[in-house]
Amino acid sequence: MDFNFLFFTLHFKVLFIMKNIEAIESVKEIRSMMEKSSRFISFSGTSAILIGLFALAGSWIAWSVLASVNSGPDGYSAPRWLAVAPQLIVTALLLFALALGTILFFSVRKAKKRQQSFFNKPAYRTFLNFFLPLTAGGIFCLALLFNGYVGIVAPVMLLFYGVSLINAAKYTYGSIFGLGCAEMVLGLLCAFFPEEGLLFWSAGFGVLHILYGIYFYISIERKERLS
Amino acid sequence: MKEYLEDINKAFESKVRLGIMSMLMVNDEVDFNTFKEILGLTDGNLASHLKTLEGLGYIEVKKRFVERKPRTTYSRTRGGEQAFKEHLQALESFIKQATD
Repeated sequence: MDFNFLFFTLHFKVLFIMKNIEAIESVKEIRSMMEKSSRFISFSGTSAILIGLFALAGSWIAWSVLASVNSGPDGYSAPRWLAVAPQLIVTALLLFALALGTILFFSVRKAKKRQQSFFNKPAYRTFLNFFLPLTAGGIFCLALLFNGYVGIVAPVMLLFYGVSLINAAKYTYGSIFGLGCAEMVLGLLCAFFPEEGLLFWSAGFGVLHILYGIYFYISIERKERLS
Repeated sequence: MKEYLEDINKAFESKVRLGIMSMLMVNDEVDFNTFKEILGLTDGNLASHLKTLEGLGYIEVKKRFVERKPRTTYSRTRGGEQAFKEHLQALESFIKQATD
């Protein structure tokens, strides 16, 4: 009689623990599905590599333009610098347009392959959260240029780009957060060495993009293709 | 213990149906292919789970043509939202009770 009762309670205890594990599993499942379906996943590592290469080409152009200006011992003095500023700004704008075109082209292609619509809600949220700080940064850079603060344009670009990536990472692949942090750190370092702006700029927009693209391709895209 | 278990919705005991409903809670609309991709199911299997949820009145189906191709999208109903929230609450209190 006593033994029977013990067995009875033990039976319920085991059942209870099993049900509890099931409940926790359910909650985990809910969370993972909510996350997966609300993030922008039509991003391709190839586009990051290409953007990195374009950035390196762009900084080479900028470097040759700057080399044509004889810089004095005090770095680029404002009047001489202003002579080549339009060339540099046009190069930067073209580069930006090229980068945007590249990422859109590859993302639309990836979405089509998966038979998904490219511009869904997660995509909208990602782009909004990315371009909001980036646009502010772009306008701020123009203001710096107009006021002749040339030296800190490169660090400001890197910083705002990093912040934009960190902001957008919540709505897309989490690893973008790491890239954003790296760009931000590079921007801060660059702020202490304003005369090396172009070097830091090509490291951030060129080398880091290429590295991230390779990482993304190997660790994420290949797995996605296999599954 | 028993009363908590009663609140747990049988419709959501299937992992697939739970997944479908979770996705529809955070997205106003989800199309068939997105479900298929994220849940990793065959067309037939997914369709039958969607039918079950539709039959319970938890989700709504919308069919329309985009660039001449048919596109089927799904959204949650008020009843579905309510049922899911109750299910989640039941799970939550069950886990809380077990860890106390």
